[in-house]
Amino acid sequence: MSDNKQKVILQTSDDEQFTVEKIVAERSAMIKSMMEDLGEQEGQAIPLPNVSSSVLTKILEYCDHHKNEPLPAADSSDADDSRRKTSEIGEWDARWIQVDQEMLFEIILAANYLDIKPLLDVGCKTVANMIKGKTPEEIRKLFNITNDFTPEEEEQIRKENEWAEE
Amino acid sequence: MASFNELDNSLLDRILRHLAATDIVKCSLLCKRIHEFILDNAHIQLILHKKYYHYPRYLDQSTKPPNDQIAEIVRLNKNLQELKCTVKPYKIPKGHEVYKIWDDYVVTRPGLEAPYGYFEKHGKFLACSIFRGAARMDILCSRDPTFAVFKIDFIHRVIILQQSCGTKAAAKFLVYRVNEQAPSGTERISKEDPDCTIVIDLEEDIWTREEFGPRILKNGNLLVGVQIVFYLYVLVHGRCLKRIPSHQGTRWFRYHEWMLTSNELLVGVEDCDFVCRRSFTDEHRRSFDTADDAKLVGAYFRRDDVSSDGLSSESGYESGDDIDAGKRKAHAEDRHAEEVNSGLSHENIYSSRFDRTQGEPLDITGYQLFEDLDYTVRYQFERHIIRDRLKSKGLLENLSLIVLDPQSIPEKDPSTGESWLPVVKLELPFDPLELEILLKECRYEGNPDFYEYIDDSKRVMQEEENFDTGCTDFVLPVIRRWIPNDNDYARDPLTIIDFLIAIPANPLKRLLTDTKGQILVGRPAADSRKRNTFTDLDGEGKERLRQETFQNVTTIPFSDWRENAQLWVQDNDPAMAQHGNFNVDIIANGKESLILRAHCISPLLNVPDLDEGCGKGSMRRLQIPKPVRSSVNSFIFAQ
Repeated sequence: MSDNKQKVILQTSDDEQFTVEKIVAERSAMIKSMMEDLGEQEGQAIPLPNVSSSVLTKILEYCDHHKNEPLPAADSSDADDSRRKTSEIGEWDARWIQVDQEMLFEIILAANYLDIKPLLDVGCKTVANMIKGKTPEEIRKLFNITNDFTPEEEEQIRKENEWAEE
Repeated sequence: MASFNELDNSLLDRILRHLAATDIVKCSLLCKRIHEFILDNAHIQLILHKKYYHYPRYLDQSTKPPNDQIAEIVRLNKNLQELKCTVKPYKIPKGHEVYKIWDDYVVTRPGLEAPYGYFEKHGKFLACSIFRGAARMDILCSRDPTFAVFKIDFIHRVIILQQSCGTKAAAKFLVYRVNEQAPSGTERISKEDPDCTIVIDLEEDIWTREEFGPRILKNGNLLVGVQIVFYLYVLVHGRCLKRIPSHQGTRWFRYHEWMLTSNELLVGVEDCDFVCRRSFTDEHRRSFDTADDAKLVGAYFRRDDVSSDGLSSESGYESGDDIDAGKRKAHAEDRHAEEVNSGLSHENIYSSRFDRTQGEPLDITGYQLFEDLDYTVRYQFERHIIRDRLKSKGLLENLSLIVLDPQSIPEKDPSTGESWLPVVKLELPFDPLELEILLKECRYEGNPDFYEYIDDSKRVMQEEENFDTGCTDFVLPVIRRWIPNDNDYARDPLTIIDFLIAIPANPLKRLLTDTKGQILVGRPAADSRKRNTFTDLDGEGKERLRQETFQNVTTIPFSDWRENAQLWVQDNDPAMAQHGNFNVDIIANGKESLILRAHCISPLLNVPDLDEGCGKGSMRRLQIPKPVRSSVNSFIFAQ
């Protein structure tokens, strides 16, 4: 069996097990790192206590689609701004990420936990695109954000920001 | 249940970084947590600073940490606010003149007053010296270089000299590579043979020392005009690509009557039929064009028009007598196709114009004027430069000004015996034109601060607008002060003697040239400060100010007003440096409200004194108005 066809077992927070190709699982830098740490221990499931089965199913779909793409460089963390300069999302990714808001944030949190940077970018870009052009009130309503400013504080900030909106 | 509220700061950061500054500002209103996050996050602050501060393109250094980039932006904007420039001391050999300033490079070459020995070094002729900080590179050649053809192109990093060989037919261009590998502080002597990478022998046997160029084109090819024939060389190896016009025995009509368009098409009028033809100077462009020297159908020129005004808008395209209506119709389609192919439109022709006096085409689309991005000692505020500057905002990065100190004592290098003159290179943190652009933008935005800002010059603006010159872009007689960094001068006190008063206001220039009058230059009297305000400039107050505030008045008649509307004032009186400022009033007869006041500050002057001791209207510290947005919002820019 070629190395790429090796299987990895992933165990979700709701105790469901997923057997996936190693190449798919390695899209997650976290899983890849765990696999390296655990070594060749066949049959041992990798626990993912922060990811539910429904979210992992969705994420594995993403990873499977992108499994043949080069992995982002290990050191291309926050310094890599060029990737973030555009808010464009690939066609397949855009279709794939058309989920309800709860799932969207679950995916973002899971992608962050699993350290899948391209997926995290897709999620964050999607949220950013939802914010663009909206008023603060619309954004609050959209994401159910509680306005904890006092009316005076809010007025003060609005006043301070007026010039920036010219 | 996952929601936006569960996102930690790192995720918030990732999301906000995808937003435009305006959306980030809106997000700051969502809740306290996001508000605080936007204030504290360096990446987000950088986005905001780039948007709301003045941010020239050359500052874009994404490899630097965001905090450093923010600091750089703030520093630049602070300098912009205070019009401070940075000062770099240089030493240039005595007898040399500054030939070119480009980026960190200062190029000097022996001036006319230089003793003969300065031309020669190590048995060779010194063509020029290139300084970069403490490093110096001398370009030497075995024969006396002809400075009439002397080209330094830092973009392509070459120096081109013409070597005089004593005979008409043996003109050579020597092409040197500018190699800056010399270790700092050491002298690098180039030897002619290894460093002169290309020797280009001019092929025409009709060389009469009236050649044009050499000119390095955007594509890296070298264009040399020999009389009315051009040769195109590949700069990297010196191979001659082609002769223009291509057919031996054909020439273009007279030397000056050709032009290079902004997209580097060479257009000339053939001498036999006065038909306009064009030729490509770029091999790639030529690849889809089989007919070099193609006739520009319909583009005819009246001889008298050409001789008087080149390819002017009125005379450049003449569809008239030579072609009848039927032929014009028949040719229309071909002409259109050809223009599309050539990239040459009638508008291109119309917008270009010969500069007959210089023998080089003046292409107002900006390439030629900007190809060097440098300023010589006398920076020229040409009108078309200013216009192009507007078009290509961000192209120029800063203004360098070399200031010589004629009173300083030359230093002598004990090892070489060579004398040096200390000079300072003032690098304004912005192009002065940038300031005008900012002001212009303010004006368009109707920002009241703008009018407050131009308090001193509002009067002039209004006057100019009344002249209805049709040129309202540059109506600002900017009152400019250059205050070098105090610390620099504390270490290296030099007296700036030359002052540049630049008035890039073409309506003003026109007024000056059309009106008899004089420019008064003088120092304010010692007791004049209290009266030195513009509130005194009404009616008789203006006259009184003029009489009372000036000492040692020098008058300069308008006839001496130079085309580029700038005035250099030199005052060798040491007291001048002590006093530290002088006034220039431009009084046009019959236009008494037209008064400009320029204050130039000696670096030796105690800077705080300026704000304290001078009148409100004229000497207050200049403030950049709101659109620079550097001092407005404590919320976003809390540091």
